[in-house]
Amino acid sequence: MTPDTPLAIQVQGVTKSFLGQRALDDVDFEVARGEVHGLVGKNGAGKSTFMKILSGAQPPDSGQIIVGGTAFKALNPAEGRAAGIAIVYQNPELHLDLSVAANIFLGAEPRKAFGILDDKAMATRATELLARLGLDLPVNQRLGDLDIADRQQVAIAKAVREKAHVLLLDEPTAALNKAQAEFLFRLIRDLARQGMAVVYVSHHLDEVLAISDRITVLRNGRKVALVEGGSADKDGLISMIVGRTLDAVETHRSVRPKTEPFLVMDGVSNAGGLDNVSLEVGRGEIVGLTGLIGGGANALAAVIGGIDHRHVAGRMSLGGEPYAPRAVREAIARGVLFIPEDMRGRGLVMSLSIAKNISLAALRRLSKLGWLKLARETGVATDMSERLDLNPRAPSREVRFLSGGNQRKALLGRAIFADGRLFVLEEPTQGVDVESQRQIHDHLRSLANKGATIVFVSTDLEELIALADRILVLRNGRIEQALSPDRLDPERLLSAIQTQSTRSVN
Amino acid sequence: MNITRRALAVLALGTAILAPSLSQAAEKTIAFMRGGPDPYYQYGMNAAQAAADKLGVNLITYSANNDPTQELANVQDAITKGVDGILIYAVSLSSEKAAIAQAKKAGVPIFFQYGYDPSILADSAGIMQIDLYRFGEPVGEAIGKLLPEGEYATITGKLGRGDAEAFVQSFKNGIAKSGSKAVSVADLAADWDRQKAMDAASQILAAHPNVKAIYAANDDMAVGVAIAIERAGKTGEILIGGNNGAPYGVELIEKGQMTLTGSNPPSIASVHALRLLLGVIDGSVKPGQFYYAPSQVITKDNLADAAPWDAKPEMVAKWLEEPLPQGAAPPVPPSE
Amino acid sequence: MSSPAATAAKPASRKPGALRGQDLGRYTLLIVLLLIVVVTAIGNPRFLSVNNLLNILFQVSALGIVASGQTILLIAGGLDLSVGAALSVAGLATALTIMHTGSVALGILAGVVAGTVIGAINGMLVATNRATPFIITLGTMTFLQGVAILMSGGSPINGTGALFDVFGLGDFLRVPWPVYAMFLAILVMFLILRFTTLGRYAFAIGGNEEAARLSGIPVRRIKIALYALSGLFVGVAGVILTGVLDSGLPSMGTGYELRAIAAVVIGGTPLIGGRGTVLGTLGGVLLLGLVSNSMNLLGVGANFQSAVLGLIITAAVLLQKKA
Ligand SMILES: Nc1ncnc2c1ncn2[C@@H]1O[C@H](COP(=O)(O)OP(=O)(O)OP(=O)(O)O)[C@@H](O)[C@H]1O
Ligand SMILES: [Mg+2]
Repeated sequence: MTPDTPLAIQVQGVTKSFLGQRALDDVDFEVARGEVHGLVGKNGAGKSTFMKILSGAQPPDSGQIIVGGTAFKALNPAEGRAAGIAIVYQNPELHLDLSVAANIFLGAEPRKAFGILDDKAMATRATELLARLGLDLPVNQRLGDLDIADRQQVAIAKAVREKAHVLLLDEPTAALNKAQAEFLFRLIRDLARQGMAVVYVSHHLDEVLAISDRITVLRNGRKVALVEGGSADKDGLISMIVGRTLDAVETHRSVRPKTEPFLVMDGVSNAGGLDNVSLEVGRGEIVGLTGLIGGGANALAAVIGGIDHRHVAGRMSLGGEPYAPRAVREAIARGVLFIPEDMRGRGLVMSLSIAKNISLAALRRLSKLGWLKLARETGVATDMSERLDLNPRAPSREVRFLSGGNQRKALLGRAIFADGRLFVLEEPTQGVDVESQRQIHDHLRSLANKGATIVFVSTDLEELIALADRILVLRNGRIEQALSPDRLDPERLLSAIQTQSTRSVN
Repeated sequence: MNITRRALAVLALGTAILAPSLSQAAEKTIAFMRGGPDPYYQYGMNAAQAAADKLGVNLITYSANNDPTQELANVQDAITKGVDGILIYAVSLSSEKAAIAQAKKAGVPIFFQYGYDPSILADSAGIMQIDLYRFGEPVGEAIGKLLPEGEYATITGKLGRGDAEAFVQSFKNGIAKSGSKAVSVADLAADWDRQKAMDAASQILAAHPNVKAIYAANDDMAVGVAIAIERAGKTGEILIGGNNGAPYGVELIEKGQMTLTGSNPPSIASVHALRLLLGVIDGSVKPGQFYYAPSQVITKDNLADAAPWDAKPEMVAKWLEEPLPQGAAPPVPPSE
Repeated sequence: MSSPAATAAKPASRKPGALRGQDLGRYTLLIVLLLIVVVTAIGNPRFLSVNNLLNILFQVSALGIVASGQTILLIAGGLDLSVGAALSVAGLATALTIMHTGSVALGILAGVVAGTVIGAINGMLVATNRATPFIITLGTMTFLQGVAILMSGGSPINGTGALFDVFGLGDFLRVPWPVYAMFLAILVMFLILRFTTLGRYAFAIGGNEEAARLSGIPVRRIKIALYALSGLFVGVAGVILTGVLDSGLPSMGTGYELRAIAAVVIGGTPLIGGRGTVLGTLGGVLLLGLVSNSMNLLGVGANFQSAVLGLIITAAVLLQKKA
């Protein structure tokens, strides 16, 4: 960035502690108008906390925020908005029952005489605004009917409508697929060109490198580096994030003879959208499921995981025995563990501690005649925190206080501790940092080496290639292609997902 | 810390409310306990307060809010506070046993207004009550004389305490006693509540257009009945019999909407009960006796000399001059 | 960028680890209780007499038992408005059984079974319907009030013999028996919540029902069990109250539902569930009992009491929420 570009926001010496622990330690930061500023760091490094302080959602303990020529010891959300700062969380806080237009104009609805809402004007103005941003969204649609990428666009449109000149994006692409992410990048670049300052948090370092003018690296709440986007490379960035160089060694898959199939599906169709799916997965195999949204990968995971019981046709067997669970606990009794992508809504119990979340699916093993073995539970949780690099290592901490990536690890810890024979995981490393992602992948591989079968859904192409023995691309509820990850690169995988052809690569 | 400061503020406010009621030691301290927020108890309490002022007695008031557990708690707390006697409108006809056990243990005389039970009479300072089983009878007799035959209906109070049931039964006994051949076509319960009684009466009028009289087991409900009749455009066509002689009941009689009410003024009853309790404390009255609470039938003709609920201090002073009520044999259910 | 404040001294940093709102919240109730104790003790020294303190415990014992049961329901995201009416039904079952059989043991059994069965039925209705527990138990509450009237034939069922001698009059080491019963109930609930899978399931269901289901917890069965458990507590409270009053009354449970819920919420268990403690509930119960006792000892007139009680409940809940 050229030093003479006017700064949009400047932060000096911001410090913040939770429960006596430093989440941010004397952080200086600035972003200029028209700049895209990447913010990276491990899980729990303090990125989200920093973004919340910038937006006024949380006050810092000390330090100051200078915006529009005024220095604030702390912003409140109203001051943040007035100063032109808008934040879009990973799960945008929108009103699902309102229309797209109503969400964009919430709190500033066009009105006719006597304060009556002018829906027509609102719809027209929303359409204009969206067109200006190059977005194509149905303004009168209920927001809840849109997918997560569209919702995010609505949140950004709202920020633009509020005349924000600083846009804070906290892991905006975590739940997006590649195409959706590409679209978002175009939008961000457009906005930056018009003078918008953008702060961008992500664990996808390729993205960060591609889009950022400058990158700030946080480690343990401290700012450890500020690099120019053009001058950095991925490995360099990783070592700054982690604090050392990461060895590229990965646990190798033990060479598996093609064992007898463990999970067999034969012509399964269901109300979830599956259409005549037949599949064999061997013991110790890792299968990745992917495809476009609604393509059927999640529907297939739900059936295998035993959480969708609306079976219509076909049969399944597990280890040679028929498998048709009618309740989740029947699936668990068969050693099948399902971990959902939606960790806040369907995964974690936010009011409970790390330990209690980890043990939840396997309390039977931690109890005798209904009495819990609390000491063992704590031991197990401590052990699991270590293995998954959960931060902080405090088993009694409520999970709602954890950073997003650490919450994901706690959820995964539940499945791993439950010690199943078949793991069905949706987006197992969404929001998890590079180092932890490798650790988790290692862990899953070693589980498979010990004979567990793993089926996972992912939109992360690198993850699919790195972790799966076989990648299944689903479309319209059918398995469209089966790909081997050997010599597969993300581009080819992406085109396989996006093409309409049904030619098999394998 | 903010929270502590706020807690202190609340406490300070609380103390401010309490402070005026922290009264100096008077000669005698009597706990007056009422069953709930109903006007009946309120008027009794007011009259007792006026009498206590005249007699130089310190009166502390309690409410059980119609909850037997709270009533028992009040008795315990009054004993702890060190009162010389307890005057109580009991919530239920029989839940006083524990209360009396407490009072006995502490040696505090306890006088019941309402709530006669043979098993507690001996341990009490006295019990004053109307004759439940005959309370509605004079009303029934008078209505029966005006209605030799035809249909009538009754609306009684909240079921479950025994009195609501007894009132209706005694009213019917009165009808029979008068020689009337009138028959009841509907017996409803309206929880002593004006609005519910109004709804009940409207339903009765709709379902039984030939109803010629309605008995309401208290005057509050009678007001509801009168409104329902007025709304149906039948004012003057239907007789209303009430009970209690409450101010609003008296007003109905003045306006000619109600025929009569069987009055049991809480005011004069509470004044006499207080005098009896004080007598037991100073040894001039024998404890453990039953007394009939003053009652009278009020019609248009004797309105002027009826004892009112909302007694003026002069009226209370006059009652204090009257001779004390004498002990009597307790009432028995007609069936026994 | 030149801004006047840019060079200003940095604001002093707050001491990390200092007692903050979160921690203090736990003690708010304790502070309020202590303040009431101090104010009352100054106003009337007899307040602190052993007898009076025992009285307070005696007065809240049935409420304490009902509120302990309600605690686990609220933690599990449930609610039972019918506990007051169920208390009356259980009490009447006890009194009627004693009247007809002369056996106090059978009477106790009848009351406890009645409470448990009612709870289980509530649980089944809640577990298998989409309607909220509020609406469902509002319905059963009204129904049970009617049942109580029918059972009693409208009038009290008097005489419980030995039950009165024990719960109404009896004590052990000067402590009345109902007080032991309350502390036993609280202890049992404490153990269930802290040390059993059932308790853990309650927290999980209240915190995130879908997550609980996906973890293989039999959500419906657990809900039924929890309502039945709470019902058992209500049955016990009904038996005890029948003994205390030496009679079964159709109105004996009036208002218990709201006071029990108030005590639980004052004790820090939120209506949305997922967290809570039965010791907090004990605090809430004591607050209700203390306030009433305190007003009586300070001679607050009957006309003021309800308003003051309401103020204090509201203040206690607000202080909880802020913390
Ligand atoms: N409300 C809170 N109470 C206690 N600790 C908190 C709270 N919010 C955040 N923390 C802690 O502060 C630290 C920083 O958290 P933050 O959410 O900022 O991390 P992050 O960099 O966004 O991580 P991630 O990549 O996993 O999203 C973590 O250790 C977290 O546990
Ligand atoms: Mg984060």
